[in-house]
Amino acid sequence: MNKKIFVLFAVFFFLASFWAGCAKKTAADLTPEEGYIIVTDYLGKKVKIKENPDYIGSIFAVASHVLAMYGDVEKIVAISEGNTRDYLFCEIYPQILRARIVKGSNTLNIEELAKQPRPEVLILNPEVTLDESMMKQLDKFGIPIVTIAYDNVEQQQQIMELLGTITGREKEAAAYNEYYRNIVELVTSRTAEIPEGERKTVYHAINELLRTDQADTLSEDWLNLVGVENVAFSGEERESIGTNKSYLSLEELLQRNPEYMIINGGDVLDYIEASPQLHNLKAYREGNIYLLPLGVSRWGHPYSIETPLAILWTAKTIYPELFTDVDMEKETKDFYLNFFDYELSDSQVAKILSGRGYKDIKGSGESGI
Amino acid sequence: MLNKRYLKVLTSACIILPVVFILISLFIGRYDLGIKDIFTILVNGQNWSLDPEHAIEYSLVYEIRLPRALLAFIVGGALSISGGALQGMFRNPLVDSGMLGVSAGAGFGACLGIIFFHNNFMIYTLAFLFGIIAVLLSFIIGKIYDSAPTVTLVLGGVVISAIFSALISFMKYVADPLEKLPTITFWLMGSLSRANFQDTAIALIPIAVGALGIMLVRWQINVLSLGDREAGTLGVNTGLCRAIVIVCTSIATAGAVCVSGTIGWVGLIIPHIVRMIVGNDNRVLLPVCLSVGGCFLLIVDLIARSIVSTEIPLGVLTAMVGGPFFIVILKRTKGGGSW
Repeated sequence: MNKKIFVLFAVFFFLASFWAGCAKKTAADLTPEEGYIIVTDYLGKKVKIKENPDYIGSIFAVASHVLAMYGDVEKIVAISEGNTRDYLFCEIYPQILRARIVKGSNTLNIEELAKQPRPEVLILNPEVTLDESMMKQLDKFGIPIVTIAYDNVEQQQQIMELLGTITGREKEAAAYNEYYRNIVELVTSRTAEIPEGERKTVYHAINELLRTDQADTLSEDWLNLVGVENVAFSGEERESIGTNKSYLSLEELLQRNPEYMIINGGDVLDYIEASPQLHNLKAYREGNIYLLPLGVSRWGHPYSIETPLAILWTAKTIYPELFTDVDMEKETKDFYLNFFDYELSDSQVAKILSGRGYKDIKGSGESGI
Repeated sequence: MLNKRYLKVLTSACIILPVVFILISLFIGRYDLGIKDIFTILVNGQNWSLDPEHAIEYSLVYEIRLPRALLAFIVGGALSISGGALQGMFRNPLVDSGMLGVSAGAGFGACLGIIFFHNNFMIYTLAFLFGIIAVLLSFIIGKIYDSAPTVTLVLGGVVISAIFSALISFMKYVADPLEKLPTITFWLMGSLSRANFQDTAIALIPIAVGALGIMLVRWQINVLSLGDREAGTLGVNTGLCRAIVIVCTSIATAGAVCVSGTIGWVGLIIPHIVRMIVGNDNRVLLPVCLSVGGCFLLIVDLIARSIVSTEIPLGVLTAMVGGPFFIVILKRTKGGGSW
């Protein structure tokens, strides 16, 4: 009998705890107020945040890059672990390592986030904000949440602007976007003249040899601007591939036989070198396999702050005759000097352009998450 | 062994320990809160929460730590009591709560939910449903060859688990690698980090039903563990009894798994630990399993959320703690242990 009483007691205890823990719901307050601004985020949600917040939680690698670039690295109090593996970034802004790491490759640690100094605004990627239960917990803290992401060049510029608005760095954001537009303008004006049939075919490997661009992503968009034919989407197949599929089979890759391959991880390059079955690819035979440079982020990665540089570099790599006047070393130096206020040495530039210097891609670190 | 004093001490320990551990877990976490503050919150909670300065601290204790501790306890309890009951019924020390395919089935259901709906309600519902469907399929396979029902049932469980694991791999293959895949991977690793009262309540209903059911037939499990023929001669309807145990353990496990993801080892290790403490009698063993299993997961989750700032996945910790322990147990049982 004792044990039956025990069971009943246990059930009763839990129920009692629920009543004790009943929460009251607070609706998002959007009335305009002195010292606050209202912004619209990637998900189209309106968010009210403090003007010029002193403490920012930036739980998305690229957001930290952008905020630091705008000059607010000191305000970042919480980051995700990925940022600590961005070696050049940490070299330029060692202060970032003082921020609390509140997210590994899995989930947010809610208590770590709530610590003082507590963020006054939280910048997250959709992966976190689409997680209902996590959001329920975050709601309790009343920290405004801004979701950012981008699927194309245009949207990346809007997000750059949004982050500028949040931190009161509109000028810096405008300068970056102007540079971005100029690069796009320069590249498209020169490659637009290449007739359809003469465009080079290019394959973009992301993290793994057979993983490539998804439809409607930034990397699809910027590669289009470069004026190449992306073999991930050959003709009518773009539809059938759909947004959920980002892998090709080995046979598909061999069949599409790209003239150029750009790759964003050193180990993929090693793998190709060690795999004789790939050595009949046109790109391999002609020596046209390149590692994308790696600076603060891997250039041209879906969430890369160096997208304009990636566009320029890829254009020059594939159509060198059109860009003889572009000096990639100088462009790179200028970019980091102008935007990160950081003077690169020649050996650092070489390290970045080699694509192998600043980190080796492992796990989710470089996925920007 | 079954003297009254011993039972009394055991019963009170089983009730008091979880309460103590749940209380302790309110005091530990990454957020620095003084012991004094927590006492104030516990005693004077509602008033404290009205003060905006302290609202967050109130939330932390009552809405984050408490539901998480409760969820850890009921999930751990459900997995171990189911594991214990199945071990007894199958007379097999290697059986755990996911033996009949519940975990794999629920994992597949959750994948479906994440890919096609991406809302909690559908994830929980599909996980629960497919957990039950998997067990049903195992049960049907067990019926095919009737003269050795337990063996075919275990085999059926293995086959169904394998099929659903393959389906999970397939779902991972088709999932969107940027948005859906991380959610799936994380769900499969098991976590209590999203716990809130609502989820805990959702999990509690099937767990309470399942656990109560197991408690009511625990004497019959004793008889079943003698073997079918012996149980039959003692007047126990073995078929019915086995069905009840299977239904109850599946409901309890599916309830736990659908909210917390697949958490390994608890349902395998805890019954063994408990068996070493209280012996083989299921009438005592199973309720103690509930309590000890709950406490074990509570402690493991406490470690997971407070040792480093980036949460350690639970499945990693339960295996790291449970794995070596299992080896020790194996060694001891070989030397004339309780089996």
